[in-house]
Amino acid sequence: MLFNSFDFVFFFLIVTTLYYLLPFKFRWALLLLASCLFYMAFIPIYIFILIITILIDYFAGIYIEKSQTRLRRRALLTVSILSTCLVLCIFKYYNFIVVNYNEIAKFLHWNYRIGILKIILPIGLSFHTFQSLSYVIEVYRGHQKAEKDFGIYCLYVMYYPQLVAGPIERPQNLLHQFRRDVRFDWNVIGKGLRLMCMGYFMKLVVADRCSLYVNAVYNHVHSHSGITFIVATFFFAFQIYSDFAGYSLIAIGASQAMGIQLMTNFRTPYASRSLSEFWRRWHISLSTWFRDYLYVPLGGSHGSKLRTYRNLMITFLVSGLWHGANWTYVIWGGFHGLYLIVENAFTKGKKIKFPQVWIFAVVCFGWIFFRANTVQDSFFIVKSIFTHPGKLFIPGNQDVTAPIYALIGIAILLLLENRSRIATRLALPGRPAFPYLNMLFYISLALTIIYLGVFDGGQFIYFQF
Amino acid sequence: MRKKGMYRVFVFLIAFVVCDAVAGAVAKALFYSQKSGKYARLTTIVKTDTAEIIVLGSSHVMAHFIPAVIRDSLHESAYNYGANGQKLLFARAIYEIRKKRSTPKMIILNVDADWFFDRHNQQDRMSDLYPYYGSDGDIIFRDFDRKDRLIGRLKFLSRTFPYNSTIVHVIKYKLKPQVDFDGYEPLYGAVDSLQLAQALGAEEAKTDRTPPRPDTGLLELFSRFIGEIQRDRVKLYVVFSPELVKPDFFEASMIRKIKTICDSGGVSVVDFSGSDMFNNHRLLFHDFGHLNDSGAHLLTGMLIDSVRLRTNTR
Repeated sequence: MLFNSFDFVFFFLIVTTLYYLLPFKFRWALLLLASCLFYMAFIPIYIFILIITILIDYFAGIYIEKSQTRLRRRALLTVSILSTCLVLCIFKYYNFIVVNYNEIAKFLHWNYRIGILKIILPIGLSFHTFQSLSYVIEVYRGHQKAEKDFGIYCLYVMYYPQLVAGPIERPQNLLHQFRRDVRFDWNVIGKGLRLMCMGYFMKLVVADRCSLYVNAVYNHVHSHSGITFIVATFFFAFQIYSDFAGYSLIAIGASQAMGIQLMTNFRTPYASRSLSEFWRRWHISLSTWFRDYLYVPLGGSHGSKLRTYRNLMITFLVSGLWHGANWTYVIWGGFHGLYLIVENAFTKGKKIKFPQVWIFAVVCFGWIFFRANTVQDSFFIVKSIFTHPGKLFIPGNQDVTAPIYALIGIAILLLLENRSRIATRLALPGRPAFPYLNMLFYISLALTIIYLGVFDGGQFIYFQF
Repeated sequence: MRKKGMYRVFVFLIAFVVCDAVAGAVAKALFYSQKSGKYARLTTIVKTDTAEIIVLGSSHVMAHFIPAVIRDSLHESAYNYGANGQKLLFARAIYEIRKKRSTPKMIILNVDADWFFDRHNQQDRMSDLYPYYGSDGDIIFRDFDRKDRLIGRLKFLSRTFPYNSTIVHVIKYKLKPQVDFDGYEPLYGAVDSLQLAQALGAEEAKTDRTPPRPDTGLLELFSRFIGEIQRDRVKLYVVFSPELVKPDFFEASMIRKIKTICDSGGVSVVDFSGSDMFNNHRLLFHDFGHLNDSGAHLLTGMLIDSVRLRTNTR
């Protein structure tokens, strides 16, 4: 059930209505049931994988809390992390490891080959695995009490708005909200719906428009040349941002409508003046996860410079691998890690002309590896950009309309994201003084979606992770 | 508080319906004001055209077959009904819509190997016909899955939705009107020799011999479609357009499959996909899949010769 499908719209309306109609004590059960149905709408049998993860970490949390000795607590944490990650490894990385092993075996003329598994990756596996891990780690650190109520814990991992693509929540932020009696309030619902409206705009008007050009180019790299790759990568930068930030806004909005607040996942990342700032604004729930549970435990920035750089590199390589079982993602992660090291070592405190443009260009360069289907494709693209500019590809027999729609979408998005800044510059009130003006704004936004949006139910990019 | 909230929701809904109706009326007026371009051509096809020879298919049809040449050679009026990215569902719907006015004498149906995959994508592409939902809604949604048919129709509660994604076309063709060659859209320029070499290299490297698994529902629909055309006593020629690079295993397998269906229905097939006149001749191609104007003249001429030959031998 995709957020951009009518199925989800009906689902959301029914669940939210029932949520407010039911007495407080039954609401968690409703949300859990709805979350199960939501997940099972993809591949029903995979709910058992989720249950395995839930069981492991639920009991791990309880036993970690009960344990008296540090050694025992640490052992339980290790077992919990390893077994949760094992599920992730089997489904996400097994084939990747096997393919690479087979390649090495072929190169070394070994006769022993391993067969790959023909399985579909469970949707959102990396997200709920990480959410589950954050719970056990927080219990281990003593920042969170172990959740005794199995139903509430299940809901923490399975809560439908953020089940398949985040935001990756922390137990401290989410668990207590399931125990809060939320009273019906139009303002709360209105706020949620407004966030969802913005999310749908980003997905349907910007992301899905850009994807038409991006897919046409990136899926047939040998038919295109440098200029085309630059344009396609520019569109991809907005596609992936609007797709994922749009998804996050829909998730946050759907949850907000029920009075449950999820963490912000994006804060205009392309306005960043440095790559480290970019990572404080991009996929915040994941970057803070890696910061708190990998970078800091590795030593963070405490220690020698060399150690800090090593920690940065490891964090970004793992982050790349988290995104997908493909070397392209590892290179993408490595590129970001490397640039951050360079940024830390050489450009800190130095002024760069047009820093936002420069950082946007750097991020776009990284997106080439992220989007390319294979490593060979990504290097072909990079090579073409520098050696074979060629002519610009216009899809559909030179029909410029598709890219123009994408550009219109991007322009409206930039206006919307900077509306308060523009209002300040023009000395206009940031928020309309007349409440119905705000209403008119969202009606216009909804009509823009209807008039300019793509309604073919395109998949969200981050679902695959 | 609740009453105030309800009141605001009520005001919102009323305001939304009014704004939607106004925006829809403006969008409709703009849409039908188009005198040239994709939608003006489509409006002609849907509303007024009565040509005796029609060419159905995708963007290949638009760029490959020249109605003026067909008209001069076969002495019958001709119009190119092709549309970018369109496949079987569109071809069938457009024929049904046309039949409501009059039945053509001859149909040239340019089939692509990818017509029998991804039904959902084909349904999505039917959005080109949404502006005509008022008069032809039943035909447009006839071949949709049941659920998609229901949800698809739900979208038309909005007055603006039928004109979704049409505004740029309106502006584009108002600013730069396009000459209409009865549906033919000539393309110019030739494929870069370096790109051809790379594509040929990539083609040679292909080792995948997995047989295609087309959508059986679409194959049945195709059989039904050609059967209907024949029952209407319309001469039908199924054509496979030429390509710069010879069809790969996948495409060749599909073409064989389609030919088998046509043979069993007694339909004439003209296959240019593996023609040496076109394969690897980059100067005849605008891109890898589309002929340029010179290529289109050559192909249309060859098609007419083929049609004449088959008519004479019958």
